[in-house]
Amino acid sequence: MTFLMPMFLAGLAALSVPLILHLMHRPIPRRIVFPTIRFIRKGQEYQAGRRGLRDLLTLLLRLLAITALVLIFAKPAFPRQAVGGAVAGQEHLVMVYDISASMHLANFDRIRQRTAELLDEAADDARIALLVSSDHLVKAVPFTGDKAAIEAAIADLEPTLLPGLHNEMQQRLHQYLVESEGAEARVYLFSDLQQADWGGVQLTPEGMNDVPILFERPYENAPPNLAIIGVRPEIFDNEGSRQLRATVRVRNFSVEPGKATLRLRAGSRQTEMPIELGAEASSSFVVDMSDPGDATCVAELVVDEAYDLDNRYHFWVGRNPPIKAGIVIPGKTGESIIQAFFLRQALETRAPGAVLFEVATLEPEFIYEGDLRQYQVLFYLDSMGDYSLIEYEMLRDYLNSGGVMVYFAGPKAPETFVNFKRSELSSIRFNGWIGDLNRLQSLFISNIDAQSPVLEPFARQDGDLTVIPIYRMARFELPEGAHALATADARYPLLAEERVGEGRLFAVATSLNPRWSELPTSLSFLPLMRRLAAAGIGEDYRRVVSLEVGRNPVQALAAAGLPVRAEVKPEPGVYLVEGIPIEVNITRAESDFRTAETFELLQAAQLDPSLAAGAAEDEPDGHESKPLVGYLALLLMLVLAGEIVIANYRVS
Amino acid sequence: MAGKGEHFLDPAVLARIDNYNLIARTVVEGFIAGLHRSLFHGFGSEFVQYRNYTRGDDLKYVDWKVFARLDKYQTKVFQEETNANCYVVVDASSSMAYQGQRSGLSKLHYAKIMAACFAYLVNRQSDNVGLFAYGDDLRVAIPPSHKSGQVHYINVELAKLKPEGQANHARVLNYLGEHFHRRGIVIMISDFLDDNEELRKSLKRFRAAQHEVVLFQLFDDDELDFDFAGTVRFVDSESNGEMVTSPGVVKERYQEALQEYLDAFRRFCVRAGVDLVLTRTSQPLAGALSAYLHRRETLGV
Repeated sequence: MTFLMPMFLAGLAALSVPLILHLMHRPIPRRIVFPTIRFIRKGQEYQAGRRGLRDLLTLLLRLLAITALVLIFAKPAFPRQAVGGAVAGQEHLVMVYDISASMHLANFDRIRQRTAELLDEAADDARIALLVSSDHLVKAVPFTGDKAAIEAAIADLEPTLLPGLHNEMQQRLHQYLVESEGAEARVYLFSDLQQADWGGVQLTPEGMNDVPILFERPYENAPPNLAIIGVRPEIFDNEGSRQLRATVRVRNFSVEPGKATLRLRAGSRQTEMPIELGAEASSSFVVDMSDPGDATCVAELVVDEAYDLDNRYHFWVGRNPPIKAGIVIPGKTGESIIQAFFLRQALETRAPGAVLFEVATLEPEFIYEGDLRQYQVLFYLDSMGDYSLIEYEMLRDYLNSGGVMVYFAGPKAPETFVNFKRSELSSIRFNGWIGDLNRLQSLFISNIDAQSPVLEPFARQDGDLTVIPIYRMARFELPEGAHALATADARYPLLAEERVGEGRLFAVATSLNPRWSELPTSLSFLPLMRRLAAAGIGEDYRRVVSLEVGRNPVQALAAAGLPVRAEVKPEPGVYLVEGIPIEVNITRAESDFRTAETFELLQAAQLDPSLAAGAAEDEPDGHESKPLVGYLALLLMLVLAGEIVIANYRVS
Repeated sequence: MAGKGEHFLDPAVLARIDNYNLIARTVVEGFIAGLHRSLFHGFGSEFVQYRNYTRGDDLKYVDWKVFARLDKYQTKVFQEETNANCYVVVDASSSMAYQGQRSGLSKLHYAKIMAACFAYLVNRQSDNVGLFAYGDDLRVAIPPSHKSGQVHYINVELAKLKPEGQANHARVLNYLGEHFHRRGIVIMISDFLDDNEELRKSLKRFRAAQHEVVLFQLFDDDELDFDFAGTVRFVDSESNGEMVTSPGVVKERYQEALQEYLDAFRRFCVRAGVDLVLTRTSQPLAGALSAYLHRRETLGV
């Protein structure tokens, strides 16, 4: 045993303190000649031993407490041999094989050959363990000296279509490494090291960071591994014919540059373009196709690569179904009819390739007439004044289930926002009014959130949104969950968006009444209202469902708010449900941008020698102190507890 | 009841007086002065005849019934009774040497004062008194007598008495049984810490011989209360055995064991018709003397 901080051992001198105190306080008995000690002896038989034992025990506990404290500071470290029980110097090899889907292009014969080489290089008395993993631990062979058994275990090794999920393998690997403490352990990892597969995997247990992890590439050069991770189609008329412009987002997950042919297929028509991507790069490619003809289109990558299930992407290019919108007016007054007129005109305008709206003008009582969900978007022109809390809660449920509501402020905004708060529909607060109806002063939109899909087109210089005079507007105070899409006078949110469950609330701080603003008569009004109305439907009115490989498709659809129905199959394709196109595409965990980068992966997997060295720099090789310190701390606590118990124990 | 002169009976005061004659007279006279007269009057004499009253006669002996009937003053004449024998037996073994940390005198010193008082009191009542002291063996043997100088003789022997050896109660009792056949009162002063079968047999024989036996069992406060502090090395006064202990720790068990022993000895005494008076050396001697007088009454000689 060695000590990492041996200077603290000087603290053992403190052991003399309780010893001296014990000896000093050891009573020198008075001598008394007593008539008879016969009766004292009877009492002594019962008690003296216990008292003496208690004193001795107290002394021992105090000595033990000081020793434990000193050792904690001195950080004792045992060579692993002493802890693990393995034979010192003996080779312990753990062979780990990744057979997830991404290993399709790996050369398994080469893997077997390389394994045989490693086994030959190993010492005769080496002990070898084996782990095979995909999304679960497929095979495990505990430490054995039989090299032939290891080779036999990988004789039929083939990749699977399962994604990589190596948590189970990690646990078994930790177990094997703990068993090999004291020996010269090494881990050979045969994997293409896909980021998402290995991003969260900690290959070595805590305190064993110095175990070498040797990465064995399953191929000479990393094979291409491209995936289509999204398609954004745009349909527009070009001299009387329909034109498809598909923006295809492609990512190269390989550590080597990748090449492929991007092909767009729609019925019998198809178009192709060659693409190139750098290592671990992503890029968007625009592919045009005239008169796609069919309602379903497929973008695909033509490439010979490891994993091609995510090389095809199905998407909808047919005509969009109309969006049902409801305009709720406070009553059939002249002002409200005018506002509803402006809005209705904006939504019902038809243009080639444009979204169709089916608009209904409603009075507040409509809320009890049928299912609110029949409307994909509701415009409230300050028309909630007579609603009770129940109606607000109905609206909240509507939003929670994915509905969109656009609220225009008006005279009743103060009580409306109070009820928003009470019904937990929204946390936006009303903080008074700005401006008046005399139109003597006006405010202008000064900031537009260009990142918002709704306002993105208005951020360009050619829009007139920023020159629309606003005469009167509500002053909103936005909670943490809400954000301003447009701000007047750089301070006052004019258009705020707040997520409510699956749905969205857009709060407009002004009214469509021309006395309040010039918004209804501006050029931007039409596209702005249409984009607001379409915001809740998804990008380009599509419902996109991604099915990860190996995941339960029913669960994936349910998670997307789409109960599996007869017309929706858990396989790639485009399905129409009640006129809404639902795209189902297969992706996989490796295609997730949120997974670890290579550096993080290496860090987690302890493949970077410098990182491994850094982690172990404060401990000598082959030593371990953390568990010992833990035991000592536990011992110290127990000793102190024992001291307290004994101190409070009274001999009765 | 605090009587006149009772303070003279305080052992702490008596311990400062080394003259047993003086102590005995002081104690007994003080004790008697504090008694109700009826308790002390009426024994030791027997009516014989009447005679004419003469000047100087004590009026208490005038028979007023005769005066009422004959109109003559007649004085009752008493004949002194046969003297009773009183054997004062003092344990002078080593265990009686103990003097507690709060006591003004040792157990033996207390026993000697007690014996001197008994001697004086008995002699004052015209009874015969003798003294016997023992340790391993009989060391003092003064036969009962009423002659003048008997008390002084006893007190001289008491003054010379030193604690020594192990108590052999049976030996002295056997000696008394063999040499003195006339029934009397045996006053035995000891701590009786070594109760044994021999002692019990001897006491039974005494009772069988119509002797009245009063045992004064002396204890220092320390022996009963066991209030010692710190750690103490106790040395057995008679066997010289030693043991180190913390009295506070063993106190409870010690007292239980002692009480168990005392209860057993008391039960034996009750069954044997022997008076046992447990006496603390811090107690005044009045209790001891009262116990003797009570027993003397029942003797009826």
